[in-house]
Amino acid sequence: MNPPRHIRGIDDLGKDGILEIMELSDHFFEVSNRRIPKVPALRGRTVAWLFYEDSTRTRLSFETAAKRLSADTMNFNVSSSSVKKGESLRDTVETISAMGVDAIVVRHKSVGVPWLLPKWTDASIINAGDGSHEHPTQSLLDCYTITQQLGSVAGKRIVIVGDIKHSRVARSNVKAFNMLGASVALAAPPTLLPPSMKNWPVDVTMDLDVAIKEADVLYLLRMQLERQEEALVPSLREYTNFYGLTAERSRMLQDSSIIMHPGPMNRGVEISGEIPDLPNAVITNQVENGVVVRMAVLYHLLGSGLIQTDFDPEDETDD
Amino acid sequence: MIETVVKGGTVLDETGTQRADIGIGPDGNISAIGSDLSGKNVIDASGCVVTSGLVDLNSHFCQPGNEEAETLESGTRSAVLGGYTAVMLMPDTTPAIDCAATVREIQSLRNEALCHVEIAGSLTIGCSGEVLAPIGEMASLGVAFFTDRMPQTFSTQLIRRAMEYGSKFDITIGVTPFLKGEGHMHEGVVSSDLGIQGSSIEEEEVLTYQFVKLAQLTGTRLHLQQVSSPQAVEIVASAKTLGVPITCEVSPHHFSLTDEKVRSYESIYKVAPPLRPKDEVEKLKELITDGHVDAIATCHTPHPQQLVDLPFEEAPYGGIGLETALGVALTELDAPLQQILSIMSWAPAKIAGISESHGGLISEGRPGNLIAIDESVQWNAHGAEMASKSTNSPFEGHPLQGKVRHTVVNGEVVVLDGEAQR
Repeated sequence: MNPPRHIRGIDDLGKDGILEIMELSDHFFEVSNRRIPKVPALRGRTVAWLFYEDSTRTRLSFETAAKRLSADTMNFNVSSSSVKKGESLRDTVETISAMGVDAIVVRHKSVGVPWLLPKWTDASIINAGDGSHEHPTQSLLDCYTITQQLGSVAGKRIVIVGDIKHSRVARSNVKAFNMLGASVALAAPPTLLPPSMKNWPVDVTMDLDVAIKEADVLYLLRMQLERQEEALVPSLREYTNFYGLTAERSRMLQDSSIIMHPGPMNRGVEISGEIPDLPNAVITNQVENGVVVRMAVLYHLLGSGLIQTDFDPEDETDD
Repeated sequence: MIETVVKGGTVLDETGTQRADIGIGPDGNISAIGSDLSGKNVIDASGCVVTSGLVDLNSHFCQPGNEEAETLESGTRSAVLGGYTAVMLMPDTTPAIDCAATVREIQSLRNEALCHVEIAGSLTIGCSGEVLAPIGEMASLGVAFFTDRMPQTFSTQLIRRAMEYGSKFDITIGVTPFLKGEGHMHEGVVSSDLGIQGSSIEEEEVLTYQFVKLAQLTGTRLHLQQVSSPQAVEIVASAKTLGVPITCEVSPHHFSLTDEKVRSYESIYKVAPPLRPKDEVEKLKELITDGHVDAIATCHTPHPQQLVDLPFEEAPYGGIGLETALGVALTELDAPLQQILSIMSWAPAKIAGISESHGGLISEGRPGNLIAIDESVQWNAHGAEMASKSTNSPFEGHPLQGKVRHTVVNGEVVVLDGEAQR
């Protein structure tokens, strides 16, 4: 048996891996727009969700993706399980692994958890977010959305705005965007930037009004409300004044530029209420592509052979 | 009368080296030093350096409170295998060693120990940094070193009062320039890449400067524990030139491992203060070989496997170190053996106040606390093979050169050919 493959961080894929997922995503985009958006590509395969942090959207997106591929799913609901009674991560992973799973999708508040799991299971690990570290499937769906909207990621100027320091989306995206040949700029107050940017191939600016003019993609991050209590910003109002995408500031964008946000949005903080409804805001496209890209991710790790061209509902009856 | 002869080694102490056998009498004291000694029990030390046992200033044996991780018995077995004949037990046990009753309890556990256990008392009740512990009551039972290890909070005022109060009792106060805050690792390139909250090296330097000033103000002997910053060592060194009564220790992992290790996400690399980047580690190593560091101390901190398995940010600080310290020092430090022994045995014995029985000189009449070191042995460190009840060694898989072959504590051969005898 080959060793299990994982998508724990962008480096597990590399440029070739990302491009392979993009290509697979095109197939699954087509599948998702069929009358019956379902294929039997992963029949008999089992995927477990192990979410130690609340996440409705990412979990639903993965679940939809798995169902469209006809995979069986196992939801280890942390809040109602023995985790609350103090079961260790290791015991939980060994338990669900013993039930027979092919992949574990894990979200955890601590950095590095997806890298620890292979010590205790042979399943493929998919990182759905580890602390402030990585969120590779978000990054893949962002790359796919940019490609869909602008033709390619290569050569584009992508400006990421907000709390870079605590953002797993930013860490994965900086890596992925660079691998695909984009130039990345970060706009944030100094307190919300990582203490050292030595390994970050980015330009840093504290002035969004300068950066926004050259952006092909303006990528807004969610502003956590508790950053104010930690004295990282004086107030949310001041943050909005300098780094929020207000209606006025949005007029500085080029006509061809797109606005992205990983959700959930704080309307009125990092993004004004009317912005998501603008034609160049592609936030709902990101959500739609999230399902498609996660189908590609699951198929990339667990699938074999050709993607079935069609799905016969009769196949389901014997399951 | 000679009970035991350590035969054929090169004897090394503060006065120099000589080829000699060492004879130990039935009372456990050295009774003869010379050639061709014979006795009831002969231990072969040919090819070895025979010297005073090592002294550790920073050991955690988890008893009372966490005997699953370590006990006085298992901890001292680990110590003697690493060449230690004396260790100083840190007081942050559960309950903390913060009153006469706990001191007496530990004293009664000493008969299970394989080497001398010097007890450190806590500076404040429960090592919490809030209310002064009864220092005098513990000092009257022989406790001469007081520390809170790493409190969550640090009050300059409280440390000052403790130092002023303690000066009456001829004690040494130990402080660690690190606060158990939110910093899980060194703040820098690696922490930024990984998104882990860091603790800056400047924080350690600022704390060190505060402690130095308090020692200068109160005149009480201060020992800085677990210094990881080269600049902090320099701050201590310049204070010494002004006559401030201050010493400092460095841990083997701080002069041999870097924060790059954290990229493995393994909790065995979570220590306090954190592992620093390569340039700082190199500078620290230079300061040690230049003689600016008084002691190497292990900060031996056992944890049961379920805590070691925790994700990095949730795991407790610290790893075991008694069985690897000498090997790491011999492998990593570009210094003569004599200098390494000086900072692992002779100087720590003085700081711990036990130089009458440990460290320094090998002479007739002194207690037989000796080790035989084979500098040529190459080995790989593996936590699971160690005598400690815990396996959390930050040197897991590390190739090391030099190992202890025999350890003699008060005349009793407790390690023979690398095997613990009880």
